[in-house]
Amino acid sequence: MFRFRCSALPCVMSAALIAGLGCQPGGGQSSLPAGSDQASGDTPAGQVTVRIADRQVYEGVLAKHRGKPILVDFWSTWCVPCTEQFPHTVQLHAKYAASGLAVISVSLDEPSDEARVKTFLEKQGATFDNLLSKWGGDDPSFENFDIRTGTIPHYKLYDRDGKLVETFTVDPAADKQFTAADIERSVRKLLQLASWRGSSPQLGRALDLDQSKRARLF
Amino acid sequence: MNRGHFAVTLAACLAVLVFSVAGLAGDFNSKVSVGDPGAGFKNLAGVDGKSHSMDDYKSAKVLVLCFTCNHCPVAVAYEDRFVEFAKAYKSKGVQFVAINVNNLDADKLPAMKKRAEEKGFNFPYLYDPSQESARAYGATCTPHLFVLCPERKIAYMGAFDDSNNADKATKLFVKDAVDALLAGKKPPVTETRQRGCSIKYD
Repeated sequence: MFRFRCSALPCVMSAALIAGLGCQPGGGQSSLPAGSDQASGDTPAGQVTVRIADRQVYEGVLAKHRGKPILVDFWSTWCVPCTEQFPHTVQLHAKYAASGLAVISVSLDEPSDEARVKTFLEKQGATFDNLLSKWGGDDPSFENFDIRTGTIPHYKLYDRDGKLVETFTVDPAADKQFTAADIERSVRKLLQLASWRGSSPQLGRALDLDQSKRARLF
Repeated sequence: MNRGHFAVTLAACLAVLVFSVAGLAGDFNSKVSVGDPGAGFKNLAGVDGKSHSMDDYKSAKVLVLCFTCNHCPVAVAYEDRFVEFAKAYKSKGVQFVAINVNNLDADKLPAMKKRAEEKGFNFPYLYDPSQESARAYGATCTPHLFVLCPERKIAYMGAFDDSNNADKATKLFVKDAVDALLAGKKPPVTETRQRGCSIKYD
């Protein structure tokens, strides 16, 4: 996995090569072209980018990470619990990216607030795929991203085949609402599933059945 | 109250019942469907210092319940619209009632009183710390609206209109539903997706 740092020496030594990969001399904060990525599929270390997205773009990013479990965090700067919980998402990425977890954030802020969204993401160190819904906080966002309850925070967990296996959202019928620990527990299970499958196909199939029974699609 | 008008609204209420599909739940609501009886509430403290129960409003033709709160920016963006609506429809026999179930300091009764004064709330703003009223309606966010006809069945549920931005709202779901009921008709749209900040269920 390559990690480029935009410090002076490597930039001077191979300016042409680095310019081709989008790293600016002097280590500026310039945004990479939308969709640019490296072998790992993640945004280069230290870079925080955000991209306006519709459902098609979202599907494209999911497809890019096919082969890895994917956690998607739907949030906005106007949603206080979302901004309070966002650090947990960043922590999950820091902790499990090397084990194969992909993370995507999708903001339901207005596209005109892109700068404020980017500032928040930079402060959080969100060095993963960050999307900003072109429909902002209005109904088409909830419609296009399948958020039935009309509300955030909302998380989706996809398995490495790109199948949606779990959703975390407010549930008026539940005795207890979901917590960050619940999300981490599910992430850990998916990551173990990925490595177990490699050693035993039968065990993989048995665990697949478990996953589909546990899926809570709301 | 004009008994003729009441009868017409009642007829619309029954029409909603007849035409509603007896499904397990709504499109965007896991607990209730359009046509279900709206759950009652009892003895909720209001910002007026009094206790309020749903029966207090039984003489209203149409009851509009609005689960809302203080802190959510989406709910705040709707406050003026709620005040305008209550003002326009009170004389038509429509009662708007706001209920907060969040137990955050920013949303509790003292803060609710302050907000009601600042914004000139012309409707009851009630506090339900048990959160039972919201759970009974399957309310997921603030604001989340339920329009109840004279028989107190759910005739419409979901968003107030189609945009958080008042200037961009063109589909006035609650207003259209209420107008229809008052005219003895079934609401043209009986359910939309609600939209806002998650209710903070304990």
